[in-house]
Amino acid sequence: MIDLVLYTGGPLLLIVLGALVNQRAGNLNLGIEGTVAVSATVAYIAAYLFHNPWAGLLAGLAAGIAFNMAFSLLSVSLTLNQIVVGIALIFVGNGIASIVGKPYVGVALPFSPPKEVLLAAPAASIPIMLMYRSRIGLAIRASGDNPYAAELMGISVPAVRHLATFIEGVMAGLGGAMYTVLYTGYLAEGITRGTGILSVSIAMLSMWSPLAALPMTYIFTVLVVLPYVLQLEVPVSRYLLNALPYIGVVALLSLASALAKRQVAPKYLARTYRREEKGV
Amino acid sequence: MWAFSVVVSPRERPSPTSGLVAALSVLSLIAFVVLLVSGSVEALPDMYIAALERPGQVLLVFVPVALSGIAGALAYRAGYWNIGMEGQLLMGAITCLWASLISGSTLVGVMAGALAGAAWGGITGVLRGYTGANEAVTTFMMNLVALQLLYYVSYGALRDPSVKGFPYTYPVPSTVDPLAAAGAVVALAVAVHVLLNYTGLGLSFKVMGDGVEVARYAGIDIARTTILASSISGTLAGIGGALELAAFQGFLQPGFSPGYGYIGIAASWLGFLKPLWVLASSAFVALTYVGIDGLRVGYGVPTALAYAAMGMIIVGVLVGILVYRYRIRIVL
Repeated sequence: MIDLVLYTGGPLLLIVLGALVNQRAGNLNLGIEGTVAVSATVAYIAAYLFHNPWAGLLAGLAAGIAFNMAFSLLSVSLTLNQIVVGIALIFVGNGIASIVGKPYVGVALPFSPPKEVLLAAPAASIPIMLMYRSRIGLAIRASGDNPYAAELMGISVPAVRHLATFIEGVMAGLGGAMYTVLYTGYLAEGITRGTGILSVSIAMLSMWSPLAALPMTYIFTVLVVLPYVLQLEVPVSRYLLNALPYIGVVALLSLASALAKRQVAPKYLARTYRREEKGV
Repeated sequence: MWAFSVVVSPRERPSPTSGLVAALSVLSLIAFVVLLVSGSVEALPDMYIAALERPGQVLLVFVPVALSGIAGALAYRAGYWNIGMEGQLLMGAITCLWASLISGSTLVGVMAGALAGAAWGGITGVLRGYTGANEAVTTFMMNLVALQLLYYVSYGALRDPSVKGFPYTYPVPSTVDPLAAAGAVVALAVAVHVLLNYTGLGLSFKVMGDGVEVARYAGIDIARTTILASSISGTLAGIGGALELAAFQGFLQPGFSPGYGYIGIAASWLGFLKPLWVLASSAFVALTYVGIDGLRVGYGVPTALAYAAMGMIIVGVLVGILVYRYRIRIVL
């Protein structure tokens, strides 16, 4: 059970950290769901074609960055509504993943997935935490908390928001790639369904703190893994157990939102920044 | 850091031509992708001809998509980011089946389905109103919960043992006429149109959609208005699922909805978040969806292409609206 949690939580942690950074910059990217689907699929195909897990991770990383940048292109450069752009990218990402991945569904990888690498995933939180304390981290947080003041400090808010989306692309791309290449070792239609949005929620539940994201991710992984363990023991439908993590997110997010009297959320989360308009 | 920047500034006068050009170029992009994937020029006209040859199938997609689209239009106008139409629709269908099996009346089932949609949508509205939990996240989570419940009733609770080998539930006691279902959709669209444009509640929805600060200043009870918007939106989606079951599919199964609630989001933006326009956009979306599905047989085009197309339609409309109101310049 513990090793199962550690394996499952690895990819999820990277995606959560990516979502966390982007939300801190004020970008609420629901399209990360599509990014994860695309990178998981592309990575699997590359790993299969090159007979090499590392080729898979590299390809997944590249695909993740490329797809995720569409978000900031549309929502930062063109100032379109973040939520709607996110929804559209979920559609496009899932569509691409299922079209591209179709011939490879059910095709086994020519190597056994080196699962042990997943145990190293928590190390990924170190650069994120370091960055948090750096000048770049400050700029990212300023862009999410008060972009108008940040601009007065000489920070280019669009540039910072693009950068945060790029970082999210790196993390979600790697996480998605790890999911199929290192963890499952097979590809199925919609294999990563829900992972992206779950990560968006866990980032919120961690109150946008990379330090809190570490335990929070593994707590949720327990909820994700629990149905598989429990269904052997308890006479409750597998499907009802499967719903547990999602109900958990709704309950905990509400609890956390109610308890957080002090405004911890980035004040400009999901709010478009247009230079010409004056801030409220 | 960046060699250029994009400057978006308001136009003095809106430009319909620019908006139209932007939207059309995205539509041609979709056409191009369809051509690329199918590898044949005839695929494009064939797609819509195939769809028109299957009016029953188009109606089957239209009803849940249009109701989800109207549900989305109402919620988005109120600034409530409901992306839970899929779950509300599924709960509407599940409850409709359950209630109609108990009562023996499909009509009672449809009404129960409407209530279930209201409740499923209302939960996230209450949470938003009183705790501030982000509804874009909670409504999506509720979709995933509803999907598991659909699996639960299909594989277990309401499975019809007389159907061997397939996870099909018991059928509804009687079916509703598909045209009556479509008529109900039109009536509901008119009702929401009236609600939004000619009532005080509709006005408070729209004021809230313009900004919570403004709404609070205008003396609007944010929590109460949010809950109303979420549950009315959920009711519409719930009816969509109940009608899909009662008028078209007749029973539930794991693949009951290929994402009608999500496709409805595309329809609501394509219809400029106006209920009557959403009727038209849903018809177009349903034709496109059934058309691409039809290409699967003749051209080997995967159904997933339909989803990618829906996403591009949303972006296209957004870009169209943007350049209609704003001037976009690239500054080197």
